[in-house]
This record gives sequence, structure tokens and C-alpha cells, in this order.
Amino acid sequence: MIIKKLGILSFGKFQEKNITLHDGLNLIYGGNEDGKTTLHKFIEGMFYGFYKPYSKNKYYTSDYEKFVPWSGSEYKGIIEYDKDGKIYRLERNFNRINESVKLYNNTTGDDLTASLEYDSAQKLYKANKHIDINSTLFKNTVSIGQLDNVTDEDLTKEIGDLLINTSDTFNAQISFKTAIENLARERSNIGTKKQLKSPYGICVSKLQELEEEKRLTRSVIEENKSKYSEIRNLENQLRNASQLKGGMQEMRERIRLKKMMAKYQRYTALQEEIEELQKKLDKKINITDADYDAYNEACAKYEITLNKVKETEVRKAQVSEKLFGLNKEISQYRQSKKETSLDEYMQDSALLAQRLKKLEELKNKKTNDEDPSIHKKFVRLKKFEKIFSTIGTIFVFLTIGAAAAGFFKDPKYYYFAGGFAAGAVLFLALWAVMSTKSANLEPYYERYDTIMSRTSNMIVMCDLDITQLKQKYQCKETDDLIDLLEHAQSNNSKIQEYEKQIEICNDTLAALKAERDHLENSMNEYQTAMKRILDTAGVPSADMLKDAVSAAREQKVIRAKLESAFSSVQDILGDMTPEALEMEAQNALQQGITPQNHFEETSDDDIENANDAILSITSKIASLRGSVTETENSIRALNEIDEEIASTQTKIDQYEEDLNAYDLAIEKIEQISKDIHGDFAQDFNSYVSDIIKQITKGKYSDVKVNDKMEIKVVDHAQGRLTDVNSLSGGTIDQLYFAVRFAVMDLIIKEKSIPVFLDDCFLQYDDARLENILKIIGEKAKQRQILLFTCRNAEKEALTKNNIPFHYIEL
Amino acid sequence: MKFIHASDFHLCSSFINSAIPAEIAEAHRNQLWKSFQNIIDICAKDNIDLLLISGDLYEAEYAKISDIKRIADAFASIPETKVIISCGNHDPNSENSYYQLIVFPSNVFIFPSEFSNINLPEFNAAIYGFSWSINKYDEAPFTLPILDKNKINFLSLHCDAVNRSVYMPIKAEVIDAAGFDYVALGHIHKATHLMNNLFYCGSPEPLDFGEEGKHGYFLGELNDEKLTVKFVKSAQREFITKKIKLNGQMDHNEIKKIVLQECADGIQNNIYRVKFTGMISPEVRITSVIDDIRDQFYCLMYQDETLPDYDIRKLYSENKDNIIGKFIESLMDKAATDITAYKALIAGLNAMLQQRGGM
Repeated sequence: MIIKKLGILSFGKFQEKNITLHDGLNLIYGGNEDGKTTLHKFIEGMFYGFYKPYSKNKYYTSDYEKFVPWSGSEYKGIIEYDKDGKIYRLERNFNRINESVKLYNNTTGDDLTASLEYDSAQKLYKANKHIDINSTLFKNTVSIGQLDNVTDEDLTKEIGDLLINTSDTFNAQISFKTAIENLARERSNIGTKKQLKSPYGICVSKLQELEEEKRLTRSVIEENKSKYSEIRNLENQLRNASQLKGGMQEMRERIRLKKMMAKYQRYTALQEEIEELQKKLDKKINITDADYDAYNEACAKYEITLNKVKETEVRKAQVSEKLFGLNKEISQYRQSKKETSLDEYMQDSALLAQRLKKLEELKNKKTNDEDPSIHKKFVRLKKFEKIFSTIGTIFVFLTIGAAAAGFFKDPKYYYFAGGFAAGAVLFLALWAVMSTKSANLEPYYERYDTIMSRTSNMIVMCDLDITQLKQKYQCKETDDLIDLLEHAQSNNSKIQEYEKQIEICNDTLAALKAERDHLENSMNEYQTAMKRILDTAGVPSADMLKDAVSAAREQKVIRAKLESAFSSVQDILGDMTPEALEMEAQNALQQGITPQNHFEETSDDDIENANDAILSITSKIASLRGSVTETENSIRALNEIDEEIASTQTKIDQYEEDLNAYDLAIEKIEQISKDIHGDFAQDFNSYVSDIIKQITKGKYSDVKVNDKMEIKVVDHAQGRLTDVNSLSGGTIDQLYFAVRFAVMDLIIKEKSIPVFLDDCFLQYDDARLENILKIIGEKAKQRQILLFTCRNAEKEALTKNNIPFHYIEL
Repeated sequence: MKFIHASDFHLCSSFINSAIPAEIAEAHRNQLWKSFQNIIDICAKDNIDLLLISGDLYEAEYAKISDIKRIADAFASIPETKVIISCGNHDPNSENSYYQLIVFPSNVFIFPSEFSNINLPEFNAAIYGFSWSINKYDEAPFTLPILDKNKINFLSLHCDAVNRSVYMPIKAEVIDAAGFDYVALGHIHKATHLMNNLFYCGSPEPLDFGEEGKHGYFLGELNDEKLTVKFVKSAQREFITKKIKLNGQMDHNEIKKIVLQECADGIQNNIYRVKFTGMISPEVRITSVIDDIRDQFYCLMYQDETLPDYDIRKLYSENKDNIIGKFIESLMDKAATDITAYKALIAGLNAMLQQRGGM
């Protein structure tokens, strides 16, 4: 196939642009923004449109929007191409509103559109009839974009990748390795049973736990069921035990009723007795033993009191007689009695004795204290003092006179004056001595004189008191006075004694009178009490009272009997009312129970045993019920567990299904890739080997692609397999293209499809460019090649190496 | 005489089949108890003389003693109502069953596992019935009796009068021919008036998806030998399944909108399950759509049965000679019948086609 003409009506930046192309190598030159890529995309778009492949629905790729024309609403173009000598014209309207594809025979003008295959997803005819490869293959094989690799290593890698991708899929970009990796990643996202932290592993171990929980829960439920079965048995036992106890209680009830009956019979007997006794108490007697005793006691007390009154009278007479005697005695002493009272005698007598004693003491003291020498000495000193001072004074005056005479008259007198002065000095000195002595003695003398004067005065005072007493009692002598006072004292004390006795007698008389009054009062009270008792009893006399008391005593006995009967009744009744007892008796009567019946006694122990049995069963039941509740509370509901098991199992099934699917997919892909490799490797190796031999001028003649899709080159010089890496940069470039073309030749049936190289060699230096262009020049002999470039280097290199080409400038 | 005919409470049931989330399952179990209590309350309030329970009162597999005591206590609270139970396949009156272990109050009568009857002289009525004691009956283990026509005759039975199943199949016509005045049937969860006097009251609450339709109990009254029966709806929730067919052009928001439109009824109350079928765009994830609207629902579940929007035939025809074509070829036949093969096919294609930046 040879593309003859590109007619761009409206596409990207192009409007009404026509480009004519030729067989062989077409070098299409354009600046950076001149639209080389647009032109390249235009060709692709014309044959394939811009759709996502393999969809059931129509989806546009991003290229559609990218090449919407810059102006106008048209979005279309035409391509004319030669296929097997026939010229075809392909028209395409890209606009999604009215998109269309048309194919004509450009020579005859026949519309061949109907011969195209219809794409139901795109709802459009497919325009690639004469290219016969799909868009993906087109893009990845015959259309080669810019090779931006610069280093040998990058290039090597790309070659390797290309080989891997193309060799296993015939379809660059799809790597079976990557596909397997993707699947393996999906698989590892699920994990395995043994990877406990993987989703699958978690589910598996959770399921195990849940199954275990379910098992335990089931066993708890079963255990609880058997516990309940036991409860049912125990409930039966409880019923039996209760019946047994009921029987015992019934027997007890009969015995009780029998006792009640007996009680009732006793009760009715007692009631009759009480009625009899009460009749005897009909006569009313208002006297009690206590009253009678009180009467007798009052009577006795009255008699005793009367006797006491009599005794009092006797004693009164005796005291009166004694009083009379005493009065007589005292009157005798009172006749000699003076005006003076006994107290006064006593005082005066004491005063006298005291004054006499004092006088004696003072006299003795005066005698002891008297010292006539001190008086005499003091008087003599005072006398000498007076004499010496007088003589001294005279001498002083004489001295003065003599001195004056000496002064005025004759100095001789000075001698006299001197003599007189000596005498004055002598006597004044003596006076001074005397004066000093008397002054020293003076305090002693004054104290002595004071003491003596005071003692003398006190003696005078005592004498005066004594003299006054003598005058008072008209006694001349002190001894007479003493006698008189002693006698008067004796009389007076006698009188006082009698008076005391008289007072006692008078007091006694008064007391006796008071006692008599008291006794008389008591007697009145006794009499009143006795009368009251008689009145109460309603009898006039003490004798009749006695009869009444006897009758009362008799009634008392009856009452005691009555009381005893009542007490018995009370004992019989206890807390019951008579009506209740009567009812019980009737109950017993109805049941035919009499006191004479014999019933077997049920002991308290029997009842207690029955109770114990009931209690034991009840507590067993309670314990079992408690245990059931407790264990039920400790487990989860089985339905919840089952639900969780089901949902976990669903997840596990899902995981397992996915894992199986991934395994199956991996297995199939691996198998296919192996098959493809087997089919493909031989042809590929020989094809690439030819080229490499040609390029390296025989240095390398063998290329091997192993099953890991690694390329090895046989180095004949060294006789070993070498990595692509070890080749020179230029060689790798050539090898790369050799591989690209090999792939095209091997996998695309249509060998003459044009090849598009879009600025592939921008990064190449001149040497590498020339090197690769040689290969391309060779290839251009077999098919049309469109080489897009934005520089002159390609043109120059082609020219330099004499490689034929058609030059087209945009 | 007033009576209620109810059955299939399935107290303590699990919801394994519907696979509803645990908290919803728990809430629905509580709802079953509420429905049960509701009927007990009505018995007390409306002086119901007779409560006929035609089986599957509880699920023996899951019930605990405390649950049965709760049931017994509820019956004890309506001493004036006679409770007549004919047990079903989920609560058989077998040896060592709870019916045998727990003491029910005196107003409860549980049929033994032989056909028998109980007379209610105060109503001149006889109630016939049978309790299951095993899990399956290929046919009824009894023959229907000749009735005393002077009495009002009831039959309470847990059986399958619709299908020939292992759940005691008896033809409705056979029962009808016996001439009962009222036949209280249990087992079918949907309330149905089978024919003449034959009634399936259904379960008071639905128990699974697919149990759509009315749920409740029958309230009957017998006046001067004249019988009137009316259905009382009691279900508080519905299990609703919606099928939504997607196509590859629907995006996230569009699908969301369709789900909300389809599930408009009782969104805050009902239990919804949406089944997605058809093709789905590779850009859309159903889980994200559901997560986006789940909060608006009481319970929203989904099943994703969509297929990726691959045109496998086209893919195959265009890649016949390469790995894609060969891969499709290797699994194509098996994938039609085997889910693992189908999944492997899709996973493999995804793994290969994703490398080209998705579809």
C-alpha cells in the first residue's frame, strides 16, 4: 500500500491542506509547531477514527477532542492510496454529530463503502480494510513515535521490552509478564489460608473460631436442656414430697380438731359451774375482810389510846406536885436577895480579883525598876553643866572687858584679857564636857523617868477601882468585900437551879397536855372509822358486823372458785374467742371427730424432714434454674453465630472462587505465552540474526531470544553468548529497528503497510543518525516510509549517504 | 366467640438466607418478638377467647430456654384466652423438645404428635390438630376424622396444602372435604385464603426476600354459628428485592438516581436488596454507588451480577492470533457454564487490557 495523497479539509490546525506522497522514503519537514504530529494523527484517524477499542459501546479517546479543528464546524478529510495497483479514495467526517466513512474507487468513482465491515459499537463502517491490522497494532508497530532515549542502556532496555512485549503477544504494550504480575497481585490481595493476616486467612481462622463457638454454644444449650429435664424430675419429686407433707399436716389437723373438741367439752362444763357459782353471789354484802380487820384494828387502837390518856393524867399530877415544892424552895432564897443581879456580882467579883492581882504586879514592878543612882547622876551633871557655863560666860565677858580696856585704855589689860580668855576657855571646855555627858545620859534618864511615872499612875488607877467597889458594897475593907461577893454568888446559883427545874416541870406539863389532846383526837378518828365501817356494812353493831364478815368470807371462797373457773376457761381458750372454739368444735363434729378418737401422732421431726426434703428439692431446682440462666447469659445466640458463619463462609467461597479464577487465568496465560514463544522464537531469531549479521558485517551473526524473552547475541570471536548491553550504541539502534521491522514483517500479513516515523531521532548525534538512516534507506526499498522531522540533519545525512528520498516541506 | 389464627412467628430465627447485616438481623428478630407480643396484647385487649397457633412458633434450632420461658410468660399473661398450638417443622413437639421440658401455663394446649382434639364445651366447639415430632413428613400420618356436625369444628395444622413437598403435603380439597368450620393452616409465609374455610395466615412479619405481600393474622368471630373472618395486617417491615439493569453508558450518579427512584417506598423502614444486572462501565464501582446512598436506607443490600462492558466476541475476532485471542479461546467454552472460568476470563482480560490504560 502506498499513500498517494492526504487531503485535510479541516483537522486540528490544518484547513484545506493537500500533501502528495510518494513510494519509498518521504522526508516530511516542518518546524516545531508546523503540525507534523497532527499530520501523523490525521493518517491514523482517517483509518481508525478516535475510539476506544473493544468496547460494546462507543467511547471516544482524548485524541478526538485534541484535533477538533481550530476554526469552522467541519472536522473531516480524505486519503488517496494505491493498493495492488488500484487507487482508492477514503473520506471521513470525524464530527460526532454526523460522523461518516466513505470509500470510493478513485478511478471509476464507484462507492465501495458497503464493502467495508460495519462496526456495531461505533455504528460506523471500519476504514482499515486495506491496512488489515487493528488500531492498537497500527499504533504499536507501524507508527513509531519520538525515541527520547539517549543512553545505550535505555535503548537496550527498550529493545528488551519491545522484544518481550511483541514476542509474546504480537502486540506491543501487552506484556504477559505484567498481566501475570497483575493477576498475582490480585491473588496476593486475597492471600492464603496460612497467611493469617490476609483477608482470606482472617476469614478462615474466624470461621474456625465461629465453628468452635457454635459447638460450645450447642453443647451449652443441650446441657441446659438436660438440666431442665432434671428440673422436671425434681418438680415431680417436689410434688410427692409436698403430698407427703400434706398428709402429715392433715393428720395433724385431725389431732388438732380432736384436741379442740376436748377443749370445748371442758369449756362448756366450766361455763355451767360458773353459772352455779354466780347464783350464790347474788346477795350483796358490802363488807370485806379488810373492812372487818380495819374495824377491829380501830377498836384496839381506841382502847390503847384511852389507856395512854389515863397514863398522861397520872404523870401530869406528879409533875404539878413537884412544881409546887420547887416554888416553895425558891421563894426562900429570893427573900435575901438584893437588887443586884447574879451577873453583876459575878462581874464585880471578877473585876475585884483582876484589880487586886494587877496592883500586886505593879507594885512588884515598881520595886524592881527603881534605880535612884541614875536620877542622882543626871541631876549632878546638869548642875555642873550650869555652873561651868555660867563661869565660862563670866570669863568671856571679862575677856571682852579686858580686851576693850586694853584697846582703849592700856594694853596691859591685854594680859588680863589673856588670863580671862584662858579661864573662859577652861570653863567652856568643862561645860562642853558636862554638856556632852548629860546629853548622852539624857535619853536613858527620860525613858526611866517615863516608866516610873506610868507604873505609879497605874497603881493609882487600880486603887481607885477597888475603892469604888468598896463604896458600892459599903465595905470598908477589901477582905469584907471579897466575902460579900462570894456569898452573893452562891445564893444566886441556887435560885437559878430551881428556876431551871421549874421550867422543866412547866415544859413537861405542856407536853403532857399536848399529848393528851393528840390522843383524844386519835380516839375521835378511831371512833369515826369504826362508825363508817358499820355504816358501810349497814349494821348497827359490832356483833352484827361479825356475822356479815362471815358471810362475806363465804362469798370470797366462791369468788375464788369462780376466778379459778374463769382462769381455766381462759387457759382453754388461749388466744381464741369462744365463738372460734365453738366453730372448731362444730368442724370436728362435722368430721366426726370426738375426743375418744385415736389418731397417729405426726412428730415435729417428721414434718421437719418433709420440709427439709422440700427445701432441698426447691434449692436444687433454683440452683439448676440459676445455672441455666447464667450459662445462657454467657453465650451468644446461636442464630447470630450461624449468621456470622454463613457470611464468613460466603466471603471464603468468594475468595476461593476468585483465587481459582486468578490461578486459572495465570495458568492459561503462561501456557499461551509458552506456545507463542515456541512458534515465534525460531522465525524471529533467524530474521533478526540476518539483520544483525548485515549490520555488524559478520561480527555477530546469531541472536537468541530465550523463554524469558531476553536477547542474547552470539559473539563468534569469543565464542559465547553476549548481552545486548555489550553491543555498541550504534549497533543497538540498528538492532532496535531491526526488531521493529522484524515484528512488522513477522506478524503483519500486509507487508506493504507504510511505516510512520515521527521525529524518532531527535536525540541522535550525526553518526548514530547516519547509521540508522542506512537501515531505513534499505527498508524504504520494500515499503513506503514517512519520516517526519523538524530539523535538517536527516536531509543532510540522507544526501551525504546517497540514500534516495522525497522531500516534502509543510 | 372471638379467635385469632396466627402462625410461623419463627421466633429466634436466623437470617442466613437473606444474609442481612448482623445488626439488622438482630433488630428484625426483636421485631418478630414485638409482633408476637402485639398479638398477645390484642388477645388481652379484645377479649379473644381462642388463639390458634398453627406451627413454627419458634425455631427449635436456635431457641434458648429463656426464649421459651418468655413465650410461656406471655401466654400466662392472657389466662382468659385459650392458646392452642399445633407444632410445625421448626418447633416439633418431639421428645426432649422445649414443649416437653418447659411447663406452659394452664391456658395453653399443645397438640401431641398424633391427630387428636380438644373440646371447648363453653363454645360448643371442638378443635382438631396435630403436632409435628420429626422434620419431614412425605405424607400426612393420619386420616381426617368424621366430625360431629352439632359442634363448631376447627382444624389447626402445619402442612403444605399447595405443593407436593416433604412438608406434609395434603391436598386442600381433601381437607375441605372433611367439612371443618375453620381450618387454621401454617407453613406458607404469605397470607392466603386457600378455599372455602381453609386459611393460611402467613407469618406476622416477612422473614426473607421473596416473602413479599401481606403479613399478619386472621381475626375470626363466631356469632350464632355464623363465622366471619378478616385479615389484620401486622408486618412492620418488608423485604423488597429490586432488579436494576445497567448499561455501560450509565455513570455513578445515574445509577445512584435509578436506585433511589426504584427504592422510594419505605426507604427508612424496609429491607432492600438491589440486584444489578447488565453491563457496567469499567469506570463505575457498584460498591461506591451503594456506599454513597446507604445512609438514606434502613437497610440496603445489593448483588452485583453485572458484566464488564467488554465485547468479547469482537475482542476475539480482532485478536484471534495473539495472546488475547488465544486466551479468550482457551476459556471461552468453559466460561459459558463455569463461573470460575468466567471469572478467570474477565480477570485475565482485565490484567492484559489494563496495561493499555483501561478500555
